[in-house]
Amino acid sequence: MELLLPILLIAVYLFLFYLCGVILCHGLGRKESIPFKIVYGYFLYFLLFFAVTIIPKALKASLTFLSVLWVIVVCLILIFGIRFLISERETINAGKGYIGITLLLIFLMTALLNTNGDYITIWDAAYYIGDVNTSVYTDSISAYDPYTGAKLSSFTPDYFLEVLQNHSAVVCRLFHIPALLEVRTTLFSVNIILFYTIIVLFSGMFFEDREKQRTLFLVLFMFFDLFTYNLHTRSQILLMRGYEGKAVAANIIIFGLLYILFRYIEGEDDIWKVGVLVSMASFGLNMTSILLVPALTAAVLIPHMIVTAKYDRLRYAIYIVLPMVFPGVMYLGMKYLR
Amino acid sequence: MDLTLTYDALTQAFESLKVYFLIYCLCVVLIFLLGKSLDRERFVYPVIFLVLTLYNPILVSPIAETIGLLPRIRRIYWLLPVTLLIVYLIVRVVSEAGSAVFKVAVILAALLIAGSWNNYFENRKTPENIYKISDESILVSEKLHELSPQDGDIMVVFSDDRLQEIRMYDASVRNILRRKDLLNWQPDVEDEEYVREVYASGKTNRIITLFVKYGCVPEDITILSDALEKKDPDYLICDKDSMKMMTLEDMGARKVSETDSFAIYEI
Repeated sequence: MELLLPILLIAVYLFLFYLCGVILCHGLGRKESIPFKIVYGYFLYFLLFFAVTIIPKALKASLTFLSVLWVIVVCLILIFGIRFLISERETINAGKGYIGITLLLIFLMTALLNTNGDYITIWDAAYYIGDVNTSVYTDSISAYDPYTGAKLSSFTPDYFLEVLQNHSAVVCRLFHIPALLEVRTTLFSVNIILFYTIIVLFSGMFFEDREKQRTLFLVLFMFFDLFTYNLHTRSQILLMRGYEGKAVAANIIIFGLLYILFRYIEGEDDIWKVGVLVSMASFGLNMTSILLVPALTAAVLIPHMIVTAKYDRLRYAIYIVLPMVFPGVMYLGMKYLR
Repeated sequence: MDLTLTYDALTQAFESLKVYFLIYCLCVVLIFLLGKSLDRERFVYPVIFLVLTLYNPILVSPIAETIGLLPRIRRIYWLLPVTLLIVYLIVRVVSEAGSAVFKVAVILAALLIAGSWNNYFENRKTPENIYKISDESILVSEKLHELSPQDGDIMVVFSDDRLQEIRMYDASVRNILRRKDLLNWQPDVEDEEYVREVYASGKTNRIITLFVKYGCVPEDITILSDALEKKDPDYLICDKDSMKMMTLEDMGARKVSETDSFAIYEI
């Protein structure tokens, strides 16, 4: 029974991401699929959380205060999301059989990975989970050392802007669930589901409505993930410790942005705005994004610009990379000035 | 300038998965030679761009340390959509092949080849409880609370990395030693001169770390007992190493509880 709430919370998370996706698509005037709304709603959700968290965190406010603020924002998400949802009729393009198989595969993968009790690097787990647990225990926002429980004199530059673990602490505070259950069951499952939802988006991009090819693509992708294990691969980080910020960076941020960039080079000029959203949300999820997001954007868009000789498109690459200036300067400033 | 920086990172990033990486390289070449222009834009030109820039040690080495990339250098290879490209090509080949036998053969070959690589199943462990930490960590936490029934923090010294689990489960148990003592600091304990310097330095965390992690006991045992007294932990959780246990008892510490792997000493 103790596991029931963490499992129910997975559905709550996904529903909130979906509503954020509805708000996003409404705001940008886009018609998109449900998987798209869930994935990019995730980025909007965490961008909002970052906006709400960063000042209370810097001012060392209490976790309770942040939780109250976040409840207000979630109420607004619910009000606007449901309102827009009612006003727009959702259409599902793919066949019902394909949707069923896709959901089943993602469910099986999530269930399989959830039966794993091992984690490779105890020190990383002790940071990510310890920070959540310590924040809840001390009613603070990452103001204590997760390893010792001692009060920090200053924030660590590598983690100050990361709010993923602060979100888990808020969830633990609101629902009174242990940090280990929120992080290693709820958040872990959510990240697995989100990543394979992005792969579903890719399958649609590559094979459109050919259901057999799309299913085969998803099955083979999952199979390869299960068999490409070493300490450093993207798949290992997702499968073994999918709740860590680096798992989000390696899987959800990179693939989420890559999907947008691929659509852009296919000729969807307007999609760059979603790329900016991913970029803005990314450093609140993992600081490595400061490097990875600009590198990936440049790697895809600069050759595209040269090949197509459309040099005016450089500005879109700049728009996507621009949000990284703030965390980049802040990171270097904190690192060298403290 | 370290000219092997990105190559070394590459070999580590694909350690024991060389065939996987080579298949990816082959796929990139195939797309370059035979693919449509859109596929080349998706999968080939970005790789060329990265090889010339981010993966180029001449450009990256000088700035890697400044931007904090050095300890995370392997992460630059997350940018390669390795599985995405390989699986995309397999499905393309299967969908464009006319013969059903050929389709099945390609899928089987892919499953067999990939199935021979390092797998997740060999590295998974059945969870002992819903928290997915060891039962013993929970037991240690419970025993500490039995020993200290009053509310408030319990100050301890963890002698083993496994005990970090306790703080994930129970934040009221506080560890004296920091990450930089137990993980980042890697002393050469074979170098007696260096160890003596540490004892002479009076750095209490390091003196305690030398004992709990490396089993080093100073000739003058008061150096260790003074360090522990200064830090004033309530308990020291020691792995059942007879030498460490004997040292603790010589210092007057009292064993108050134990589990299969650990003994809890009151300091």
